[in-house]
Amino acid sequence: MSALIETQNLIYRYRAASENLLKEVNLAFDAGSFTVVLGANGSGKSTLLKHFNGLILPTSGSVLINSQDTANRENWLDIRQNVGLVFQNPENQIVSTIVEEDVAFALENLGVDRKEIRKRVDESLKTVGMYAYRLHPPYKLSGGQKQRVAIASILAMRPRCILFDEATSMLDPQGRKEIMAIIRTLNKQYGVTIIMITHLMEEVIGTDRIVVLDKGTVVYDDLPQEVFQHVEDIEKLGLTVPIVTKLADLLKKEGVCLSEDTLLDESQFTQAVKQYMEGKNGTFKD
Amino acid sequence: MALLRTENVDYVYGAGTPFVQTALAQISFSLEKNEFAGMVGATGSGKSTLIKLLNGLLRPKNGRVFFQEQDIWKKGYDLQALRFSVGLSFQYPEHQIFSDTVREDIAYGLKNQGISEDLWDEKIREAIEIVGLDESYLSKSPFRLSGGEIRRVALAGTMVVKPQVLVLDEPTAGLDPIGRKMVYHALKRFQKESESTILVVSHSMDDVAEYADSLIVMDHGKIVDKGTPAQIFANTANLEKTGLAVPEVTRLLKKIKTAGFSVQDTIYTMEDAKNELLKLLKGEVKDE
Repeated sequence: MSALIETQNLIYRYRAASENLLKEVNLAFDAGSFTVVLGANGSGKSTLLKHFNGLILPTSGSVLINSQDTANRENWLDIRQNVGLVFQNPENQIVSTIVEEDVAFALENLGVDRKEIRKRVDESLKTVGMYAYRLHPPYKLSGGQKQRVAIASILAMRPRCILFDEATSMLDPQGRKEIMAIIRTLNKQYGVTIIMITHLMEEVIGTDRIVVLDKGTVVYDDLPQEVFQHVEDIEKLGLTVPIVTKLADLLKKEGVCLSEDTLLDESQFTQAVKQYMEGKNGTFKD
Repeated sequence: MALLRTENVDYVYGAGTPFVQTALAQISFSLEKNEFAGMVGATGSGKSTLIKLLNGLLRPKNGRVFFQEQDIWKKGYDLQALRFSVGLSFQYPEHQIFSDTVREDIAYGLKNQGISEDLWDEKIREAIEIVGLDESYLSKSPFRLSGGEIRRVALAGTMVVKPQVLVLDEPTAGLDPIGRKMVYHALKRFQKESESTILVVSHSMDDVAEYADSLIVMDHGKIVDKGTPAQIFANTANLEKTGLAVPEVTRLLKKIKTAGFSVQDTIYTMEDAKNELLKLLKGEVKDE
């Protein structure tokens, strides 16, 4: 089976710019996968994401969505129904004055049958936990709620993949938790392919794959525990590793090696502390 | 003597309409000279409303605001002068940039204050240096810079007029880790070198905890907690009730403590956490 999204020697350059922003990017994303894209500001990650539903077209090379080339205008409708994009600012993606109308907007444009629209709008709003707010005006919602409405609007189109471009960065911790829980559910329960850009390490934990971009080039493409082994390298790229990973690395430099594996979350770290202390007590008693 | 303080301030949006909503209730707090304070709270807790009261952009329904112990809403008070002394930097300040060059943008505030052009060059150079950029940026177009750079240019534009109090709403939103660090370093330097007072509004606990001397916690239009970061983070339950999270380092140490190890759990910086853990891990084995 071929990948859901595939880039082939993707090169992109803004018209007036002299340098390529994306330099021969070759990536493939399988249906149902969950990928996080990391990179410093200006590394080209948002530009890359916008290629995945044809908002931006490659300068050279190609992007295939479900084997359809984004360069071909006739594919756009299909591609954009299949791949939805959620942006950073929830304010920028809401068009209607009533929540349910906003969710119905795309379906109405697509000429979907009225009964079907009702059904899909209700389903989508229930999935993101906003059904009770269906008759509210969006401007009265919190940032997290607005972002959930934006996700529902995309879900109503029954996409196979949703792209998130720092979709939680303008939300407070509570809003972030809500959105991350929904994203994970969409992936696990509904098999929606997720590609997500974030600067927040707590959102990286639990993903299958991390792609790190630097100046338009893919420098890492691996499991989180593999990528975060390279603490110094990642920091040199202007990024951070999860806090527990960093702490374990600092301890290692002081001569305390908690674990051979890269520690990614608090439970792993606590467990490693336990084992280390038990080991120490053990050898002492012998 | 407090430099800036509010006394029982209430603020209501949409008064006299069916949409009336109390944004702030009975807010009293003060900022001292040369203090670096952080204000945290979930979305909708009233943070952004409160900071607009501090330089008279909004007028409180009840209560009073004092700058240098002068009531700013007393008849005849010079609000224009207040706004030069209390600088406000909104979220995404780079959205307000419109000049062709970085130099012009930074000079905008100097022009508004009627500062003699002879002094501009020196002040501009000082400001760009404080935010960690060099003079080569002055002739560049702000729109050609990266997200972190343009944010710092916007900051320099606020710092150049040397406000006595600098209030910033989410100064690091949307920046990458390096960008965040650079912004906080610039603020810290500005605080030291111009002996200014800084108030940062944020919901990123990790950032604020690392740099602020004191914290104010807002929830539903009220101040629910005040103190040093260590005091605030000692009370995890209280903080989480307001929709905020304790810094990750603090959470980790609490977890290790719960697992039965004796570690101090009010630590909130990486360096302290490392030392605390080293004490545990390298420590003497206790007889059981």
